Amino acid sequence: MKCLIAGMPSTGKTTFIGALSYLLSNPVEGQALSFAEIPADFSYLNRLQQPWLSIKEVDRTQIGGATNIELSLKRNTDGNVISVSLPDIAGENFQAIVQKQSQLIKDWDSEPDSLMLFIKDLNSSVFADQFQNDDTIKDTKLPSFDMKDISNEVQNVLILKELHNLFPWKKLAICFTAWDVYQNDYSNPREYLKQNSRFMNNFIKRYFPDAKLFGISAQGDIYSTENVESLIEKTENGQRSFVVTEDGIKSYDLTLPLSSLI
Amino acid sequence: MDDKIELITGVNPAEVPAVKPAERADNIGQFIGEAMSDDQKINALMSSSKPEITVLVGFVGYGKTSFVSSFYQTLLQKEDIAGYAFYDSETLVGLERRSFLRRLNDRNIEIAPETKRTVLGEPYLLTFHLSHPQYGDKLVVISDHSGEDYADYAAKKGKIADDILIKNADRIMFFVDSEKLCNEQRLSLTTQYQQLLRNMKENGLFVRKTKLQLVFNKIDKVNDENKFGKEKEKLITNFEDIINLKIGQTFEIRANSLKNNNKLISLFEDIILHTVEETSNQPQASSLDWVNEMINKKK
Repeated sequence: MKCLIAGMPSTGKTTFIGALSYLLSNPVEGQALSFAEIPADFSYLNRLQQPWLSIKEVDRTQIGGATNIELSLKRNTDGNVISVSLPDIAGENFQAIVQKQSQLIKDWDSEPDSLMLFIKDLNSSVFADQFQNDDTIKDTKLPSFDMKDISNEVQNVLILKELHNLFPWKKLAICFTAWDVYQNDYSNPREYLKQNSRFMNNFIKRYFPDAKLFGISAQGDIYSTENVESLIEKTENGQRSFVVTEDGIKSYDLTLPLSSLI
Repeated sequence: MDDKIELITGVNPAEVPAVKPAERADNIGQFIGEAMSDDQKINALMSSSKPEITVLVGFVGYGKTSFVSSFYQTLLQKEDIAGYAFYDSETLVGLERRSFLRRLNDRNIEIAPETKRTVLGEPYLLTFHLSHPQYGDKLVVISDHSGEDYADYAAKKGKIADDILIKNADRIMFFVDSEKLCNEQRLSLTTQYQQLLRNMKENGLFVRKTKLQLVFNKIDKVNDENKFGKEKEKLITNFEDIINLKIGQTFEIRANSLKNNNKLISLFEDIILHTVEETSNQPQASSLDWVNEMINKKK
């Protein structure tokens, strides 16, 4: 199975891979997937895993390169072994698709059969009414329309459309990251999507009715000096990273989004 | 009839408005999902549902872009309008650009007002794919040319003949700046519209059963209601005398605000529900497929 992990910059793709690599070696109870075989070269995964274990932000993935991560995984319900290919590509490369500039992704020599789209927040377009009228900008030149002027919901829809044109994958999982921030406000990821982007919800229901939605917290919490010890303890107990399904069920099995695509 | 066939089959490609490079925004076309500038591309959208074409007509600063931006924002935010949910558009970036321009206008950026608008020759076709749980899909197409394009159409006699979409519009909404209608600029406004309407008439653009409507925008800036009432009546008479047809409906709106603006929302509902009147509540798909019907007749 080839799964493309996509998402705009700083949506937590690399943090997820780092956390996943640890949990595949140290599965929690009832975990859907685990390593069938530890990769012969774990050095790249270590680079992603170490900061996660030390409760530190993972360095941003470098723009311009795609690192393919090949994993041999065992499905624990039936013991079947599955090869999973996950490329680690910088979010800027996905964002550049909207600007017709991401040759890296267009040239990517692979045919993914599934996509995991990571979304950190979905700020809707801002109503003009919400601006303060006294917010006068002293400028004499028309500001240039730029990526930052396109709402997150529209950027994500454009990325989905373009990636599906490039690689007509069959299965889709949408992962709303930093779910530790949202968990008290939304009972499940569908609720979050509906409330923050009706348009994107309509788009997904229309074109990808079988898409799975997940709320994901790979970090487990916002990092601060106060919670380092408790996060380490949670890591040891297998209760740090968590996933919330569309049914609102919380699980410490971080492999659920990946296993839903198999 | 032939015009419609031309639109479908591309027999007579529309001339893309000539634009001096310096007059265009610096990065138009750098994104996917821009507005379309070629009427022929609408053909590609017509296969699944009949497009309902609304053309916004008006000169610089009359509020067409604010109107279409408010329409887009309402569709984004609301679960549905009149039961229709917005689920896709080929021109998302074109719509975001218009929202950006509207935001600039509302933030009082101290730049020349004529620069905060859709520019001459900028792609202008915007699409909205809508879905109703009972009545199915609908494709709404809105043409939002720049005011300068219409100034061009008014000043140059044959120019508007190239605009295939106007010939095939189901609804033409003429935007009027109500503030200008009441101040010293009203003669400039009416004269420019007279030129435009004559050119439209001479080019045979009023022969179809197109809904013709007058939209009096910026109604909140009118101080003297009596004066506005008189000028409004004069303008309607002026329009009807030139085109020799009745203006179907008039609307008084403020297009740049959605707060407590039920009139604007009602107009949006009207665009979605009544741009093309159906003979039954649930039209058959075959009767909507006028693209193929026209092509077959041509053969």
